[in-house]
Amino acid sequence: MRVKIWGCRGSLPVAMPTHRVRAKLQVALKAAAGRKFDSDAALEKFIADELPWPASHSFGGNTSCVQIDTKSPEYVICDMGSGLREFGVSMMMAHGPAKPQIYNFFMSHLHWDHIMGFPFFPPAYIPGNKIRIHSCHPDPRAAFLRQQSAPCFPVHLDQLSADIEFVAMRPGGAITVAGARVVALLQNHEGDSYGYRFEKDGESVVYTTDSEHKPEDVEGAARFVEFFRDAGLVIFDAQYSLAEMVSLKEDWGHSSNISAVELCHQAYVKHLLLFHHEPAYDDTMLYQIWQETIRYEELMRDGGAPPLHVSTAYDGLEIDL
Amino acid sequence: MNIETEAQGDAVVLKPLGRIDQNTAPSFQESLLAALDAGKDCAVALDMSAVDFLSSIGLRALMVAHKRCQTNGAKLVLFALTPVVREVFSISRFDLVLRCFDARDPALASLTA
Repeated sequence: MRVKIWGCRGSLPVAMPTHRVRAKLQVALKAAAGRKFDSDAALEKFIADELPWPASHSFGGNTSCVQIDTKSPEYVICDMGSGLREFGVSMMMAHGPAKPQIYNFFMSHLHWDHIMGFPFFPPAYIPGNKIRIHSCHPDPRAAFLRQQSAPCFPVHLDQLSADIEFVAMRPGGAITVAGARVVALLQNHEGDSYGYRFEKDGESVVYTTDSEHKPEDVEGAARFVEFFRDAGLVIFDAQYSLAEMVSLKEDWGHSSNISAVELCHQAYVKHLLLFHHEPAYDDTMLYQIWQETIRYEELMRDGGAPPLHVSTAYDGLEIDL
Repeated sequence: MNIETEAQGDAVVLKPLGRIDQNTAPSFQESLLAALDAGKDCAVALDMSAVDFLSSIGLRALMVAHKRCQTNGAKLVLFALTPVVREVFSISRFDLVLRCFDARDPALASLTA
């Protein structure tokens, strides 16, 4: 399987303002002062090897949208945040309007930041495309209808030309989609949210966002440890610091890098991907949180246990399992 | 959890010994809250020099104690954090919430200031 991040931000899309672009330029130009680059390849190597990560990268600003490529002709996508627009554009470029495709969506929940990309998903406007929206919520269509009706949006949901089907799932019950076994788990979030575990050919990916893990909830932790057990990759909501999560932002429905490492260690997960980044944080802060999480993993790892690989999501990141 | 207790003027010094994790955090929290509730405007200094491990539930116990101080007027400070626990405080941002000192004397002095 391959995972591609189309949107990694929590809560609200963000764009990089000019002053942050200029700050990156300053770092790059200072580092390049007095240097000569004989080719574009030499310049690329300098950028890759010598510039600090936050100067040569950006986390991007789209809200949650993750593609799980199961090597099937059908597509699998978790959530419809603003990152869905770019995914849809890439589909139009790849297939055009004449080759109908099947898109299988798995909805963590129906809050705005997780559905806002759908009105801007070009394949939804193309006859012949099949769009299956899997959800454990009782009436997901109502949220889409509300979003695409007056006065919120000019194109009504019923005007979309693709064949759109809402598929009811229930937590714990496995289904097979695009060749992968998919299981959902109820999570702690206002109005409920659901995590999904995808398994195919001995590989496994868990998508678990908008989920609050209270340190004192031992039974809840045990459920998640079982859900994460031996997963190759866990995509985990780490929007807040632990201090925020147990104080000011308690019951806001999100979690921390500390909880991520603890649960993944207990479940013998191989790779943790930090996700649903705080929209108020810039690239430098998110990079710092990533480095701190790597360090925390080192500090907390039992002697002899295999290391948990810790990455951080950014728009455009691809991970092969 | 094994916790040494010592009266120091108007303050109490609590010294937890060992790990504060899933197994020990409940009794650690209970002891800490009891000290903060022992009288009017209690002052508690936590000697962290013998705590070699602190998981999220241990950090949460400290946050519960911090919130108790905000409601009952008690004071809580920490001192002599081990290097590992100091790093955990920094990564979890608890260093921005709790008052931490390198040594015992300034910690105790801050409780009477």
